[in-house]
Amino acid sequence: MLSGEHFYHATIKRVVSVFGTLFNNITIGRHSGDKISNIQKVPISYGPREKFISRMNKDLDGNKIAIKLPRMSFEITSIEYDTSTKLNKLNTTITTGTNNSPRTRNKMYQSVPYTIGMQLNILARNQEDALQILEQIVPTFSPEYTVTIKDIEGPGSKTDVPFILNGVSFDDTYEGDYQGRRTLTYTLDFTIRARFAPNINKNVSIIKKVETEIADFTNVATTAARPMSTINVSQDSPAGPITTFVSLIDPADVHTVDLVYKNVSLSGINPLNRITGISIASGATADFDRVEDEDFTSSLSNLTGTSSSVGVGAQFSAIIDGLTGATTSVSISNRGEAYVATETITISDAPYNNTNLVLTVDSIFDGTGDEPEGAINTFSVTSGNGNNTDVAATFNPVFTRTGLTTEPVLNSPNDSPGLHGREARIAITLDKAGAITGATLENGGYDYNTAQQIKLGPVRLGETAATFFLDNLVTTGGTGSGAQLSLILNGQDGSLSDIGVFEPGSGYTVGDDLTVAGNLIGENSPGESAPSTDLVVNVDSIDESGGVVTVSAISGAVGDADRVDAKQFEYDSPFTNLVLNITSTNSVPISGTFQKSGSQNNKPKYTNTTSSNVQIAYNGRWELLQDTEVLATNTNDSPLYNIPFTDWIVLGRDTESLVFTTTENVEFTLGETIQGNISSGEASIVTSANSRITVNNLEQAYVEDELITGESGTIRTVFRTILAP
Amino acid sequence: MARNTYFSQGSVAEKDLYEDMVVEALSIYGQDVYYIPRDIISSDDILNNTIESKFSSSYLVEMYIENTEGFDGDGDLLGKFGLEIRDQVTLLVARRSFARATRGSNLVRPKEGDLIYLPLSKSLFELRFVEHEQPFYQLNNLVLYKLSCELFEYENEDIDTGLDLIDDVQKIYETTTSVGITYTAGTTAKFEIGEEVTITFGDSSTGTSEVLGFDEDQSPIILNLGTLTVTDGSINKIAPSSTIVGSKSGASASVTTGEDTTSETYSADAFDDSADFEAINNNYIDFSEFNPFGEPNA
Repeated sequence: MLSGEHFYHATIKRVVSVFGTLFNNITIGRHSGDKISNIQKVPISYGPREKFISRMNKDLDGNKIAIKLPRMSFEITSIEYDTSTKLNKLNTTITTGTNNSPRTRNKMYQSVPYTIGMQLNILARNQEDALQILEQIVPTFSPEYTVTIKDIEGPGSKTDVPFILNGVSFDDTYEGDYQGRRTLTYTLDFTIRARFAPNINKNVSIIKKVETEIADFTNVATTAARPMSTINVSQDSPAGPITTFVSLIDPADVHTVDLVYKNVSLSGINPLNRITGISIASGATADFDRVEDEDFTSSLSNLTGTSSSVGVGAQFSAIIDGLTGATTSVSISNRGEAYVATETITISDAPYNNTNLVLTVDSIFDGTGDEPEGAINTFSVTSGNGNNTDVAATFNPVFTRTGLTTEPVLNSPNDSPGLHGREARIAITLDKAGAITGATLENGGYDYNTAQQIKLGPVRLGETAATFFLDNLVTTGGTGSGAQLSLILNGQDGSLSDIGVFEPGSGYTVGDDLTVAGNLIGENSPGESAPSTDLVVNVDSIDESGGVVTVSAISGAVGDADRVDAKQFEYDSPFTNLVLNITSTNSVPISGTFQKSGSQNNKPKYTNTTSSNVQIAYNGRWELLQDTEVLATNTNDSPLYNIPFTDWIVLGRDTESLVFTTTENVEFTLGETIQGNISSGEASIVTSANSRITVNNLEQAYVEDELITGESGTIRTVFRTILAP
Repeated sequence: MARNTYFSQGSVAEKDLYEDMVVEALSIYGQDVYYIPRDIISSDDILNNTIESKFSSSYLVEMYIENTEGFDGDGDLLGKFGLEIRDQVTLLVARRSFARATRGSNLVRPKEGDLIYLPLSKSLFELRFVEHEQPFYQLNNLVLYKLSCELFEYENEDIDTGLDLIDDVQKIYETTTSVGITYTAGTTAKFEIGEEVTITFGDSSTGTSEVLGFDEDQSPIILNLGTLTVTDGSINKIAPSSTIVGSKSGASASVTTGEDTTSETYSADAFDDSADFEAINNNYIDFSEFNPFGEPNA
């Protein structure tokens, strides 16, 4: 029924909105001589509204008044057919087609005139407020005021819409008893001449050619009416007879069409031997060093306890050290009631069931404020907050390390000499003790063999570096003063790895012995197990002011566990590798498909420039696929961009030959007719070269990605069309 | 025939006892309310309206709420003009209590047009009518006022009683003009809520307004002003060249963003769609028409 197609021009909504705009900037004030007070803009709104929206944002506990005055409101009162402005219903409006094609237009039939009745109401309490509003409105309408509104008769249309003020009435209920309220309302009735537009017929084809035969009825008496195929025009016309009256095919309508080859096959790259499966062989056992820098802070909430008196309802939250189980702080989440100062609260629920957490109430609220009487104000922890294995057991985090590059285990089973595999990356998960709970493959790398082993070093697993640095070490001894040294110590055993001068000082002589006190390099720390050992060095060379330039160690350079112990949880040993077995690899040769999905248009080419660097010249976007897996992509759109093979295929294969094949290597021939598969456009070839054709007599512009087929059977894909200037 | 003088219609002692009982009963069963008298600053003798009113004092007095099951009247209504609350209440106040509470003022009785703030429901009522003859001369005296009240229809009146809970009505409901300001360099004083400010417009004329609030987190700082008052007969807009000086704080600032009716900050009125109309109609109304005979010179 009717058109069957959805359309909506929002005519009434636009009229309502424009009507509101006419009156939304009216200012009034209270005049008393030259003084004008209470200067304000009068609020206006469209009266009808959803009831719940008008009520839901009301603050029920806020200050209440009846209403804010003065104010205006308006609403639609009628919508009636306007017989006085009817136009021929077969009139049409023609605009440029939605698809911007030179061959199509949008067509819309005559809009239908209606009058919309609109009522503007002014509510005031003060008579002069209402009169000021009224007297600022009335002079504008004589009796109509015309506004040009956009788009109500289709996109791009401009319609003059008269707003006619029919009259003003008012209601003033000032009589009666004193209990009743006086309501002062002015009502202004408007008529708006609007037009409702029908649906737009989009992209209607233009009649391009008309041929007419005119019958000569003057000779009916002698012969049957016969068609007259030619007419002669006597003035301002070409000399010859006109046989075709209209031809809308413009010879200037020349299109250039860029074409592409799609789905060019690639083959010939040797298999990559990527890892596809791994399993843990060793090294997964707990090593706290791997996770020592993690955050072990955790929390417990909704803790309730038993009062030593009658208090009830208090709830607490605790911050705990997930490693030791010590309770580091307690906060209150519900202050409860009926507590008294100095009473104790014993929390005995798990995980405090073996060692109870005992709190003491320090102060309470007295009930005069928002808090009830006996609500806990302040409290302190009395006992039970020390190390607690039950509490520690509640914290079971999973730590994750990702993007860990592996190293091959040399001489493991199936390890290929000189080709041990590269670039495999894995991710691991650890528990809080540093045990490795899982290992997953992130990138399979290449050149691996099944049953070969790979490993992750301790630093990659989370252990800190194997050396530590000490600066600013003050020295004693020698003939000068002010020399300071820098040391690098082995993180495993505390032995001296390297030594340097941090501050040269002055006044030294070659051969001086300088001493760095043992406590500066970690000796004398609590729990030390070996005698304190100082580091003594010899001054080997000095500058002209006696500043130390080079030194060498005399004693104290050997390993000393005390130095390492001083950095507990940072440099303890031993380091442990995680070793993984390769359980499967992928050895399928690469033979994929280049797909073009971007701009520009050239045939794919390849150039084997050297034995080690294959280059591909293709100015477009590329994907290299293996089955459905994307092996590499190139998003560079610059024309004639030479893509080094190693730039976009990071897998390291750089000595292979490539073979590109395509069956779509036939060019169109001059004069050939081509036909699109989407646009139904038909045209003939004017020129054809290098993946670009120029056509004329084009029925309809081709669209991107459409296939076009020539008379010869050649099929190519349209990249873009360019209308000749 | 004259009245029988052998029967008393109430001795002085009986009248006092009756009044004492009424006062005590209202003290027990009543509610504390604030009585807020209206100061009429100017009025219009032709149209018989007030021009300018102000509420600048309040008196705490106990009154008995005669309604027992909620307010009278039509309650909350959605009408043409949005949400309207038509609550009515009838209050009883002892004449003696009223006189005691308002001692020192020139109030001789509750007056129609004055306001009553009921803290119980945070409602601001306007006194419509004072019935002074009920109960009717039972002991030849009158001890009560019966006040018929209806929720107040607010028209941007100045409410400065000194009690925040009442003065908040003005802050919440007064028509607001928001401007962006920058404090004058070298001064540290800041505007205070409730203080009067003097605005000097671009043409050197001046106006006054009241600070209803500000937002210092914005840049420029947003200052919310109440309705404007001018004394030279012409209404000016607060434009970027204007300056604002506080009468109490001494703060001084220049306006960087003038009043803007297209912004939602223009008014806190939930039923005002002015800004919505202004914003959407830039898309609907065509301003591109021109005069085919040429535009006149400015």
